[in-house]
This record gives sequence, structure tokens and C-alpha cells, in this order.
Amino acid sequence: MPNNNKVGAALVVGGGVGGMQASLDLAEAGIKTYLLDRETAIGGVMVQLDKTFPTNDCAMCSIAPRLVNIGRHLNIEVLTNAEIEKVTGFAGNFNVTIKKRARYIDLSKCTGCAACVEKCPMEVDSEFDQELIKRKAIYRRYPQAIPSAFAIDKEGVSPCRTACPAGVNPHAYIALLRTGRIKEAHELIKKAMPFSGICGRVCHHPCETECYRGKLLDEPIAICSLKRYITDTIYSTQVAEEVEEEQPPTPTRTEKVAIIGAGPAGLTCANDLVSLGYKVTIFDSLPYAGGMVRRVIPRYRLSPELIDKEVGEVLTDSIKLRLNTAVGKDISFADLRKQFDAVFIAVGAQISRTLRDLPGIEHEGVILALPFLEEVNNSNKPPIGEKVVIIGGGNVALDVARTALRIGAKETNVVCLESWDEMLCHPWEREEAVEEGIKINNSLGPKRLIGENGEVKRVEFLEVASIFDAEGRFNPTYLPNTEKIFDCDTVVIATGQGCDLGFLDGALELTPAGTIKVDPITLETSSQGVFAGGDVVKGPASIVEAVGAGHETAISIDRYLSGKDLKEGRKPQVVVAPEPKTEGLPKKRGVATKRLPPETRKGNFEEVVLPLTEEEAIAEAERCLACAKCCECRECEKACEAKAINHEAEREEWVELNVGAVILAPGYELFDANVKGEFGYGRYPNVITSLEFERILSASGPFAGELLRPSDGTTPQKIAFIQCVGSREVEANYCSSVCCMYATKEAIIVKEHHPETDITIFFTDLRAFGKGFEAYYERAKKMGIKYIRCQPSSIKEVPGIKDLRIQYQNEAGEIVMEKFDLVILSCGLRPPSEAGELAEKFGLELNEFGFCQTGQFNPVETSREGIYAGGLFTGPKDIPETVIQGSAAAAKALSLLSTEKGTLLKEKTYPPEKDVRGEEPRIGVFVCHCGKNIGGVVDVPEVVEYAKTLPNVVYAESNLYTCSTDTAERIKQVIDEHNLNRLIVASCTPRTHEPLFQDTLREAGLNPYLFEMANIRDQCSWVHMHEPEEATKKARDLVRMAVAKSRLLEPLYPKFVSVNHDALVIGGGAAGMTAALELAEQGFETYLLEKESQLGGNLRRVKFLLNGESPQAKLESLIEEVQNHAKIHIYTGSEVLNFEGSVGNFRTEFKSNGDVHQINHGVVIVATGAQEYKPTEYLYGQDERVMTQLELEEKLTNGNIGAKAVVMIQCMGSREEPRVYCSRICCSQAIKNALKIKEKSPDTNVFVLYRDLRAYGFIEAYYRKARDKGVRFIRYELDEKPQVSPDNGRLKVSVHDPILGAKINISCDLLTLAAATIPRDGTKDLAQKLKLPLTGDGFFLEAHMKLRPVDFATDGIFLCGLAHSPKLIDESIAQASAAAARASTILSKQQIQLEAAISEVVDENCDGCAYCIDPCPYDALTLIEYMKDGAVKKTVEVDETACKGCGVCQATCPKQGIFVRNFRPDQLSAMANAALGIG
Amino acid sequence: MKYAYYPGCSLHSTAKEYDRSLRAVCEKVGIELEEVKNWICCGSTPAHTTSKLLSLALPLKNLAEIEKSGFREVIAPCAACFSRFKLAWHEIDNEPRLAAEVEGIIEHKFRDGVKVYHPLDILSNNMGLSKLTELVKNDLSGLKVVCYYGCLLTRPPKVMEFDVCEYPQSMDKILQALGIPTLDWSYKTDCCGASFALTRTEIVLKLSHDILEAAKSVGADAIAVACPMCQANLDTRQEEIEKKYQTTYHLPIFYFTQLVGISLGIPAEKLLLTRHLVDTEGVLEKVR
Repeated sequence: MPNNNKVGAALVVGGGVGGMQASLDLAEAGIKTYLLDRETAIGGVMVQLDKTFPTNDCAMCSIAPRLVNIGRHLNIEVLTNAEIEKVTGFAGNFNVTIKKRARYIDLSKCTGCAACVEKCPMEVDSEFDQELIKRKAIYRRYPQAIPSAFAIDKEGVSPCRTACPAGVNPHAYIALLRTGRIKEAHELIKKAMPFSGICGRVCHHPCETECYRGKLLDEPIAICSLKRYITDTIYSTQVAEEVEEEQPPTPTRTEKVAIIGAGPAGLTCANDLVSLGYKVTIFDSLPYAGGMVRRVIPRYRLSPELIDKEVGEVLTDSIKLRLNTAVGKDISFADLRKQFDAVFIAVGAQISRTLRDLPGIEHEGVILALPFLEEVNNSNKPPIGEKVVIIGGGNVALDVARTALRIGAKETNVVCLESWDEMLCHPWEREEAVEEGIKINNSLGPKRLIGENGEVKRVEFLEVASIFDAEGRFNPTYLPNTEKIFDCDTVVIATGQGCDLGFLDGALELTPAGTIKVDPITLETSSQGVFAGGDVVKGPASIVEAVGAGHETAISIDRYLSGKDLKEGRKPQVVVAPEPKTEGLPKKRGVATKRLPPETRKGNFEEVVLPLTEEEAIAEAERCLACAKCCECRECEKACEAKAINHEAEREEWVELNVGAVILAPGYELFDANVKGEFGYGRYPNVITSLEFERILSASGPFAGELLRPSDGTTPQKIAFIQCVGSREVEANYCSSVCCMYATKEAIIVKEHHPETDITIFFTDLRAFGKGFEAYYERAKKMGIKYIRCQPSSIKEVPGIKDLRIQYQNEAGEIVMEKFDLVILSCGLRPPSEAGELAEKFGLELNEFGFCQTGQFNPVETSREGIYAGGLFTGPKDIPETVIQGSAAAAKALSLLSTEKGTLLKEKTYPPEKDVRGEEPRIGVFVCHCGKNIGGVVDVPEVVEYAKTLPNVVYAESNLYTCSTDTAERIKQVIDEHNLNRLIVASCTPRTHEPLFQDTLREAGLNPYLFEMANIRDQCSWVHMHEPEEATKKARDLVRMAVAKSRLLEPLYPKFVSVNHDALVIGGGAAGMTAALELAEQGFETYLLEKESQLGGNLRRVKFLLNGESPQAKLESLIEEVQNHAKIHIYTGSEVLNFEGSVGNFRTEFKSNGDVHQINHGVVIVATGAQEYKPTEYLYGQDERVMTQLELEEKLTNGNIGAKAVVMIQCMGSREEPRVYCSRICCSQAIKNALKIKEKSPDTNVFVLYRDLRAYGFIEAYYRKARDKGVRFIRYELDEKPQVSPDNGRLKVSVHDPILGAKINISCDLLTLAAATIPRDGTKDLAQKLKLPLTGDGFFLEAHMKLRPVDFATDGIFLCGLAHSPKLIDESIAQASAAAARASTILSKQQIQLEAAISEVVDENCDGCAYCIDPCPYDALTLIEYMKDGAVKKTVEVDETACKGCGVCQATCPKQGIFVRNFRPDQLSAMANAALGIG
Repeated sequence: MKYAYYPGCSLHSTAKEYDRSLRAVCEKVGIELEEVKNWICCGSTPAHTTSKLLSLALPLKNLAEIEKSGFREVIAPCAACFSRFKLAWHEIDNEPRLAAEVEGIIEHKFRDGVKVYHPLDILSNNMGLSKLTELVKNDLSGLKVVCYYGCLLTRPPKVMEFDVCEYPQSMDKILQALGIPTLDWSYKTDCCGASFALTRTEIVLKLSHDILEAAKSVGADAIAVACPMCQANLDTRQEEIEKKYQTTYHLPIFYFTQLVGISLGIPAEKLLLTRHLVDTEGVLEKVR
């Protein structure tokens, strides 16, 4: 694609409400959209909320259908676990590189069935539930998540795993053990370690050395002992249960492999090769298999029975074992090579080194360690004396000493070169030896053996000077004249082992140390096809290393014999898990190793180390810190029937996108309350954040909606909220805008559930500035929620009971200490953590607070063209404003890419619809638990069983969430399997969820109107939550009614209407002009109607702004742009006369400067603005020195005001009857004008008399600036309003200051009143003409306060600017752009599908009484007359484009002459009869 | 490590045990202290309630003497001295005109200035805690202590630049490094009433009572402090508080340096453990 072309695609970064809205608008208007989210699912923070203010709607219920819309949208591609890596290109054509972290689950295969979750043994903190509870390492962020697929949380590999040379996974088997799955744990161990019982006893466990718990906290997990516990438990039950023998795999390969040595390396290799289908022959010179383990490890450490068992399990029939066969003697190495296709040499280091040069070594009574141990193991009792000296200090030396003690030695001395700290033995072995009475003598080297009559009697040692020479070579030197003599009758030489490689006859290259030289990765020797591993390569090492070598060799041999590259992809780089958090974790020491008492060990070979008890093992397993989160036990893989899990997926992958525009909506970060040590968050369990409290309140939250406090699970009786935590401070000099309301909301929710709860909200200013907020705040106070104006400085915890004490100043000015059960910190909103990174990658500017820099007139435009921003990224804001900015950003992208709309879209095709008419109804019923929402009250399984008994019901089942994507798939499958032709979902409400299920029917090839919903949540479980039995009965009734109706359902078919692509914008202020321009830029003809003679509206009166931008210059350029745009048609002096039609096809008649015009258009945007209230108070209108803020602004622009003192009285006409709403803009107006006064004449005293200073968002900084400049802010109470009177040519303002508790008199020259913003005259009239609803305050009422802030309930009509509610200029502009984007989703389409379930007239019943006409809210009905049978017949006609199927007409008709298509009278009767149990 | 040492008046008189124990601990861990010659009063509370210039000139005069004697770093163990020094330096550091004025008064022009340390900072940061762990001689793991930092030591945070202002940790970490369990509590930085002890005794009794009560209720055997005023109020007023509030605490108030000293095996007489009004014997015996 050439670089100068624009691309019809956009990328939205951030899947919260803002990003989701932008995506939907873009995609609906014809732009292919990619929606990227860092998390595994979209939804942002709103999905974590319980309810939303001020309507108390369930947040999840509002947002869930939108999530599903996104998930199902053909032209929105969701990219999760993803982040931006790199951006190149320019506006219209960007190339974006995206890094995607592995999910380890195939999105296309995962059905979201959750079978894996049950199996996962790993519990990690649930981020979604704010770490109040745990979730599994395999998880879905929340039940309704989109995408609905699970994800695995993997953070590399635990250090215990990386430490094991054999590749055993201790993390996983410990996790399985902890969760009681000992069998699975054992199977997992066996995969890597065939000798788990052996290893559980004698392994030197390097895993424990690496354990993070040991390194960071206290002691490592006793991993080795746990392995022994698991194995022993399985073995002991095996005997009891007689488990069936596994059949060995039959050989599938013809190649033969020889293995020399039946030790751990050889046996492991053989085991692996057999399972790959090879034929294996093992040669060993000993009469038994097991190698050194069997030969020399003393029985008190390892019983021969155990060895025989584990070795025997490996030695299946597929392995030919040739014992007593020494290669080099019984068969030559050369012959072996000829007879076999590959050879593995694993003969170990089997010979004891002696001290050939030691004088006296030839004496009788001097023996070597290994032969001695071997003899004892063969149950012989070699002759030893009573006094034994062992030379050497390794593990073998100790084995010898302890064995000697057991077969009769009275005194054993271990003498070694090394000091105590340098000894080569394992410390735990030495500990046991010392316990048993073995004497250890350090730093002594043998000088000579002294004998009598050829029998050794004494050993002479010298003190060691050094062990190694300057080059680090072993070369001990001794101090002269330091002889030390040990009496003895036996001396055992235990100074190391070597390899006997004589049988090779020089066929292979050796190392200087006398071991076989191999490639470190493939273990191939100098001869092709010959491999070597274990001690024969490493020198005397460990069992785990030998087993590891066995595994590696098996891989090499398989590759070699298959002709594959031996090295490719071996030893991949392992990412070690990061250190887990240990801060605050209590220290807990590991389980102590229990041993037989030393005195009972003598004279026998009983196992010294005792096993763990079950309690000990579980407790020890529970100490595991679970680093790396996922332990890769792969239990999930076993559980996943869809085979969706891929643990081997690449950790990261990169995706390249070519898009025309980018919208950044990455959200915000909650202030980290840990920073505020004075509140004890993180230390006091009952101090929680507001978001944690949202989760606690949520029905799907950690306590299933029960109000419980974290420390003890009791219901708090007294709750306090502390506001402004992390806001309005030096480090964050802004207001987070939403906390006052969310705290109020949370308090109200608590009060609704538990009216007896005592709630106090500690606040500074109560900023209830949004639409409907003030009334909500008043409601909260009426409910008894206490608001105390004080910021507590600290919280004290009461030890033991963990209640919290807060000291504050009450209204009377007294210092009070009060105790609370729970304290919620209303944490502020901080810029998203990735803000800096995004800014850098995209080349954007951030503002002083770290949010994205935008302007008052371009609120969603970043400093870079083609990159737009929305939501919290541009500053703290509420949900509707976030949604507005999402749409506004979409509008910008749509304008930029207007020529590319539709170029990259896909279209959805449904399978052909099955004709079910005439078929007997076959009904399927799906009953939803809705988590606990329904399932916690209604007995869902019982309802399912009941449904099955109803007529024509052929199938019924229950679902956790029927609305989830996986259940949709399930429904389709069931429809198909059971040949259903009717579907019923018993769940929440058709209001939000009916379209979703109807679409599922279409996907299953059924007409969507064959669907019926039983509302068993909103109208049942929610309202009868305390009467579960009655609720269940009602749910049965509702399902029975639905079934009765469902049997009578018939398919309906919607009509389509073509769309007129012109737009009408009513109102030519800033909002109207912006909306018009936005639409015109997208290529739509736009009619702009302005009531006044000139454009500009309220903006004409705004002369300056807080941030210094020049509004009048902007207004001028805006008007010019609008006037010069070819696609905008301006009509000033206009008034709407007539309005009719419906979405896509409206017709408006209007008057403009006397002429009447008529236009057809597809959409309407209402932007009629608001106006300033004309006060009647405080001498306004009587004294010219009293003016409104706007009038002051005018005066300030025209020159100096010449006043020594100015008083501003806030809330004039707002926040009290008859206008119980906040006018939102007046506080910032006051600050703005006060600062202007101070700028012009710094000596003028300015007093602002306010109730709450509502300087939300970034305005807070100007509030602080005003205070710094000396503006005095004095609060007054509503019941003690300021009083104004003339005073000696000046004005006297008296006000009661609640802080001083005294009256203040201010003499001033100018009094400014912050007059309310009220609906514009004529709003009511326009609302009637357009049939639009108004709020009680007279502003237009949008479709949904939170999620549809610019839509009306009537399709095709949109709202913006002050006509919606009072707001600042940037908010108006954003809303105007948003309205344009919403309008564009209609205008961009060629046709619109109409509702099929609309009213239908039964002509024979209708006598034209016209009762139905007036009540119709959509003006869809007309009375007509026609000739019938020679007479005039009156009847009613339905406008199919306007009718919404609301059914008001049906309810008013006395003769059953009109009905809504899927609410036919017979259907409703059937329901009524079913309800009454008739028929 | 060698530092100039400014004991201030308290450590030469009422808080002699702080002085002795600090010196002994420093000697043990290899920190050399050289007492400032000709040191004068830091000004404490009276100076800054009298005159701003005086409140700056007094501590800065001391810092000038220290700079003149070639030191760049000084240890000021008394929280009040520490606070006055830090604040004075902060003031002139940010206001060149003020700096010039004060420099005129004290007749010294600072070149590089002197960095002021509290011993808590020295032991926990400059020296490193592992050194303390290595030197432990006596096991005090049976002694449960709450660390009380008082109101002055960390505030205001931008000036003191020392530890976490509202929830300091340094003393806890020092004692923990010695194996002494420290308990979490809510009163680490509350005010004890400080110098109101004489003028508004009832305030001190109330505030110190709250602190003692809190320490007792979390189960502490003793309180560790790092300020002579805190020590004096909590120790010398304890009996009075007990009487007034009809309760008993019997909580010894140790300078943290005394506990460090005991742990490192410094003889009790060198730590002046008998100078306390609430006797320390009972608690210490329990430990041994």
C-alpha cells in the first residue's frame, strides 16, 4: 500500500468504557477497529464497580450487554494481554507494533467452560477482586469477560525447578500435594524422576538451596522430604489397593540401543527410550540392577527393597537386562558397537581411590570404602576392628563410619584434610553422624600408617597448612612437628572415586580427569552414536544429575536414530520467576527433620530419617510461596476437553497493525494508599480502598455481596469514609472529581442493605457537581449518612479487635475521638502507569499532572495529529464523560478517515432461517444463576427440573451466566441437537439481554422472535432476596408463563428503511457548531438552526478562560469555519415549527428570519444550550454594583472594575428549592474572575462566599492559585445565608463563618452573584415538538445517565452541550463531537433495520375511537378513514418506522383492536392462564 | 567512618545515657565520633519562638564551627537539635538573601555545608544492617519492643529527608537486625507533648498516656526512643500518669542505642541503664 493513502482502520488503546464506546462508534460508522487492552479481558474498571451513581444501576448489568456487543462485533478485533511497542507513520496511516503476552490458551478453542479452574492447584491474589481473595493461576478476569476465554498467569519458572538437574517440577507437586491430589503429584514426579522414593531420601536437593522462601524469608521448603512423603504414601496405598500394572509400550522402532550400566542414568535413559518405542539392552557387570545406589548406599539411608521396587518398575519387558556381563570382558566394546545402533555409557565412578603412596598402606586392616560398603550391603559382615579410622571427609567417609558403627566398631574417627566448614559432606549427614558418636577430626592429613605384625595399629596425621596450591590445584601441605596419632585396628580409605574405563580400549576421547569427554548439550562422545552421561562424565556426582543425563541422552539417541539435528532447540533460555513479595509475610520455619534417637540406631540398619506425617507434609507444602504463579503441573491440560491449552506458547509475540488513527483510552491508576502511612492501609486490615469496597459490595465480589469486614468477617456497624486520599494535595494538585459521589453511592448502598449502619463521610468540599448528583447527596443525608467536614490526620488501630479510631473536629469545633469498624479511603485517580511510556512512543505531551495534554476547544486531540485521547487519560472524570470522550475521539477519527469508511469492513451472514411454522413447539429452557444474583436466592436446579415437566419443553438446563459467549455457543449446540424451535431464557431482563439471545437464535438458524424471556432476577430474586422459597415458587410461575406464551410464538420479519444522509443540528452555540462541523467534515450535508440572529450562543459571553486560552478568537474562527463549509447550511433567527418522521427519515419544518423551510434528514442533534438565571436576591437589578458572574466577566474585559473589595456569593439559585442541582460551572467562574481581578489589581480584596468549592478536576490548581494570590474563600451554610445591605455608599455583606463561629462583615464595592445555569427558554416547547423527555430540572433527559449520555431514547436524536446539563466549554465541545459520532453511526449506513415487534391493527375490531392516538409516545399512530362495504370506516394506521412496540396503544384499546406483534392477546391470555394455573 | 558529633545540651545532662550508649555503640561498630569544639545551644524551641534570625543563627553557628574544623558530616542525636539543624540549613539553602544575612551574623561563609545525620540514619543506612547482625552477642529475641520515633524526627519530610515520614521504619529495622522483635502500632509518630511538660503538664500527661496505653495494648515490654524529650516525658512522667489514669504500665523507656548496646554485649554500666526512673532490670532479667 503506498504510504500516502489513508487506512480505513483505527486502533483503540484501552478497553474500558471510553475505549469500548470509541470502538463501537468507529465500527458502526464503517471503520475497522482494533481494541487493545493490557489485561486478559476488556471492561476496564467499570466492571469492577458494584453500582453506579446517581441511579444506583448495577454497573455490570449496564455494561455487560455492551461487552457482548464488542465481543460479537464483526468489525472490532479485540487484542488482549497486549501493549504498544512502536509507532511509525502519520495521521491517516500509522504502523503500530503491538506486543502480545502469551495467554497460553487458544482463544478460538476455549469455550470458557471453566473445567480447568477446578483442577488448577495454584492460588494467586485476584487483581480483579483487589487482592481481597485468591483466584487460580488459570483464570478469567470476571465471569462476563470478553474475550470469555481463560488465561494462564505465568511468570517464568520457579527457581526450585531450574535447580533440578533431572528436570523434576517441585513447585507443581507441592501445589498438588497441598490441594490433596497426591496421586497426580506422584505421577508428575515420576515423569521426570523414576526413582522418587530413592531421591526423596538421598538427594542432595539443590532445589532447596535455590528456594526463594529460604533466600528471602526464613527457611526453604523441605522439598526432598515432601517428595518422599508423596512417594511413600502412594507406595503404601499401592500395596493395599493392588493397582493394575501399566502395560509397557510395544516397540515401534527397529533400532537397538545398548546401555552400559544399570544405574540411575542408564535406567532413566532406557525408560525414556522404551516409551519412544526403542528396543533397549542394558549391560551390567553386577548381579543386580541399580548401580552405585544399590551397591554402596547404606541401608539405614535407603532400603534395598525400595531400590528393587523402583528399579523394577523401570525394568519392563521391553528392556533386555544382561546382568553379570562386563563389557570389555564378557563382550567387547567394539562388538557392542557393531551389534547396536546407538550406545549409552553410564558406568558411573565405581572404583575407590586409594592412597598408593601413603607409607604403611600395605598393612592388613587397611581397606577401601566402596568394597567395604558393598560387602555390608550384600549382607556380609566384613571383619573390622573396634577402633576404626576413616581417612576422608566426604559423604562416603561418613557412610563408612556410620556403617562401621552399626557392625560393631566401638570407636570411629573420621579424619580429613578439610576444616569443619570446608568439609565436602552434606551438613545433615554430618549432623547425624555426630549424633551417633562419630568423632570428626578436621584439618589433618595422613603421614603414615603404623603397623605391628603386618596389621595396622596406628595412623599418624599432620596438621594441614594448605590444601590447594597457588594455582588452585589439590596439593596439600602440612605443618611440621604437629603429629597426631590415632590408635586403630581398621583404616578405611575414603578419599574419592574414579572411573574404570579400561573396557573402552581407547576408543573414546577422555578428559584429563579421566572421565569421558562429551558434548555438554547432546552428551555425544568423540564417536558418533556413542553417548555417555552420569558420573562417568561428571565424576562422582549425584543421582539427580545422573537421571538428568539419562533424559538428555534419550533425546539425543532418538534424534540420532531419527536422523535429526542433535542440538537444535536444546537447552532453551529459561526465564526464572521474579522474587515473590515477602514483605509482611509472617516468618514460619520449615518442618524439622525427625530421626530415630541416636541410641536406638546402633547395631541395626533401620532407616534413620523418619517420614513426615500428613499434617506436617501439608503444612510444609503450604509454606510454598508459589513463585511464578502457574506451576505447570498441566492438570488443566488434562481437564480441557477443547484442547485449548498450550503451555509451550511463545511468551511474547508481535503483531503489526496498519491503521489510520489511534485513540488512547488507557484509563487511570488508583492512588496507592500504601504511601499514606498515617492511614495504615496495608497494615490495618479494616482500612480499605474505595475500589476494594466496591468489590466487597458487589454481588460477584469476594464475599458474594455480603457486607463483611476483612479482619474477622463480621458485618461492620460503623463505617467511615475519608475523602481526598491522594487528591487535592501538593503531589497531586487536582481533584479526582468522582470520589465524593462514589463514596456517597457506596454509603447509600450500605444503608439500603443495612439501614442500621452508622456511616460518616469525612470530606473537605462535597463536590456533587454532575447531573442529578446534588439530589443524590441530599438523599444520602436524608438516609442518615453523616457528612463531616474534616480531613482526619491519622487512623489508629485498636489492637486485638482491629477497630479503628479516628480523631476529628466536629461541627461544634470539638476534638472527638471516634471508633469505627471499617474505614474506606476514597483514593484519588492518578494518571495511568503507562502514560509516560505511551506519550514517548506516540510523541505526545502530558500535562503537569501527568495526564494527556489537551485543550479547552479540542478536548480529545493530543499534540499529534491522528492520535486522539479520551476518558481518564485526559484527566479525572466520571463514566458518562468518559463515554462522551470515547465518542468524541471516534468523531475525530471518523472525520480524518471519512473517505475510507467501509473499505475494510466484514459483514455478518447468518445461516438460512429454518421454517418452523406448523411444527409442534419444541421448547428449550435455559435457567441462569447469574452468579449469586439469582442462584443465591432461587433454587435454580429445581426450576430446571420443573421446566422439564412443562408441556412442549424438550430440554432444560442451568447456566452460571447464560449471557456469556460460551453459553451462547452452548445454546446453539443444544438447539441443533434437540431440534428446538422455541427458546426461553430465565434470567435478568429483556431490557438489556433480549437482543443478545435473539442474535443467538439467528446464528442457530431460528427466527429471533421465537425467543421468550422469563425475568427471574430483577422481578424475582432481587425483590424477594429474603424469601428464597417463595422466590423459587415465583420463578417456577414465571417460567411456566413464558412456556405458555412461547408455544404461541410466531416468526416476525423486520422491515428495512433507507437512510437520509443529511443532518439537522438545532442550536448554533459552541456545541451546535462543533457538531455541525464534525458531521460536515465526514461529508454529511448539515442544517444548522440558530434561534438568535448570529451564531455563538453562550460562548459569546465568555471572554477569557482559566488556562489562558482565548475563547473569542476561537469562537470567531469556529463561526468562520462553519460559515465557509460547503456542507453546512446555516439558518439564523430560526424556530422549529413541525417535526415528524423517525430515525433515518425525519422531516422538519422551520421558520428562519420569516421564511418557512422544510427539510428531510436522517438524524437530529439537539444543542439548544442553557441560560443564566436572573437573580431576584441581593439587590440584583436594584443596585448596579450587584451583577452576575457573566456580567462581571464582561466588565472585567472592558477595563478595570475599580473596586477595593469584591464579594462573590456562590450558589445563587442553585442547590436549593426550586433548583436542587449544582450549576457546576460557577465555582470555576468565580475562581477565574477572582484571579482576573487579582491580575488586574492585586490590591483588590476578593471574597468568595461559597457552600462547597466545587473546583473539580484540574480546576483545583486554579483554586489553590487563587488562595495563593490572596483571594479569600469563606464558607457559609444554607441556613445562614449571607446578607447584603447598602452601607455608606458601599455594600455591606454579612456572613457567618462556620470555622470562626462568628459573623464577618465585609464592606465591598462590587457584589457578584454566581447565578444558576437554567434551561433555555423554549426548551419545553422544543421538547414537546420533538417528543423528547426532560428532567425534573427542565434539562433534556438522555437515554442512560452513564452509558448513553448523548443519545435520546428515540433513535436518531442526540443531545449535547448545556441543553443536557450545566458544563464547561471543553465538556460541551466533547459532547458535541460525541453526538456527531453517534449520529454518524446512523448516517454512515445505507439502510436501517426496523423493529419487527411493532403494533398491528385488527381492522375488524377497531372502530376508530382514537383512544390510542394521544398516548402513543412516538406519534406513530394516525386515524384514517376509508370506504368499506360502501360506508366510511374509521381505523388506525401504524407508522412502522416510528413505532417502537411499547404497547401503550394496546393497553388503551377497549376492543382488542390493536396489539403489539409478539404480545398478541392470545399469547397474553395464555400467560395469564398459566399464572393462574388454568388450562 | 568518622563524624563530627554534636551532643547538644540534653545529651550532656538529662540524656547522658543516650550520649554514653551512642558513643559505646559507635565504638563497637567502628564509627569514630569527634565532639564539636565550642558547640553552643541549637536554639531549640525558645529561639524560633523569639526570632527567626536567632533560630537560624544558633544552629548555623554550630555548623560553621563544624565546617571550619574540616568536617562535612555531623551526627546530631537529639531530635530537637537534629530538627533545628536541618530546618536552618533548609531555609538558607533555598533563600540566598537570607543565607547572606545569616552568614553575616555568624561571620562565616559556607563552602559546601555540613550534612546533618541522625544516628538512626547512620546505623540503618550509612553503615548497613548486616554489620549489626554480625556483631550480635546477646539474644534479646524475648523482648517485645515498640519503636517510638516521636513527632520531630521525620517532619517535615522534605526537610528531614529521613525515613518514611508517617510510618518510619529505621529504628524497627535496626532492632530487628539485632533479633529484637518490634511490634507494629499506631503511635510511632504521635506527639508526647514535648516541651509542654513544664508549662502545660496536663497536655503531656494526656498525650504520653495515649502512647503508653497504646504500647501496652499491643503487648510491648518496653518502648525504644530516639529523642531525649520523648524519653523524659514517657519515663519521668510515667508514675504520675499511672496515678492519674489509675493504671500501671511499668514500661521501661530505652534509648534505642541502649538496646543496641545490650545486644552487642556492651556492659550495662557503660549504657547507664540505671539512670531510668522506670527501672529496666525486670524486663532485662526476663530476657536473660
